[in-house]
Amino acid sequence: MLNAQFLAVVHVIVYAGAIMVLFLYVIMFLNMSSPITIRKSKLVMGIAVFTGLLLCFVLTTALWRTDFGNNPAVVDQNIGLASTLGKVLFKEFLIPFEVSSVLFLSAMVGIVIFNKKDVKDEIDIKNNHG
Amino acid sequence: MNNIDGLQDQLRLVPLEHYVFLCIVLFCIGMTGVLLRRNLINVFLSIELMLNSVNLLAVAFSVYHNDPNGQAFVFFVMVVAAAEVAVGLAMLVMIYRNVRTVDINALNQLKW
Repeated sequence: MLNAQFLAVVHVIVYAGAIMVLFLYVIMFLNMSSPITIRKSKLVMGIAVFTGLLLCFVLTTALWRTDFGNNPAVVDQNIGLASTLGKVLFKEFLIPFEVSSVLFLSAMVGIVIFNKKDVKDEIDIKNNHG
Repeated sequence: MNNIDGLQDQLRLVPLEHYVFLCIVLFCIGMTGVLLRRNLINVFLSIELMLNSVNLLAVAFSVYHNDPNGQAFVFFVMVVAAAEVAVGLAMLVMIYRNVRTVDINALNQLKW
């Protein structure tokens, strides 16, 4: 197996623990009652499926023609461990690692600003409903 | 106790082409989902599926070429995916507040 232990745990925590929970919260708060029943036209659906199959075909053909060489008889089992990956992250990828924290900060700030109502909107709402 | 020694070395490795083909199939399924789905939440989920397929591909290559940089890259892809999902869902909630639906066909105000 691939023995990517650190990434497995990070994957479960991030995707199943954060992203899916976020999705579920959003679905819960949106409280959509009317299901979308009108489907797209058959032509558009057909074109979409055809595009997907075409991409799959193109990539598979590229895979067919590629020579991957022999599989390594034995792989270094230490690659997926947290210690090895931690060393790589803090030596070669230190700057991206620190910049990603800034990325998260900017994403959070952006999200909070998204959901703030403008004062102008509040006054409009009050005038319209008052 | 650090690694699963012995047994893993003796197991025959799954050829790399199998992993690549799986990732191709996952990616194409995700892409078809993005094109076909009308609900915005389903579109986001298909985008996540595409990101996951790329993650798996990078991990497979990094293991087979004994290069830990691939797994570090996957770490950052997960970082970006998490931030993107958060921002995307915040935008979705804002859209829902204005349009009262999550149907993509309702967002046609920029169309000619």
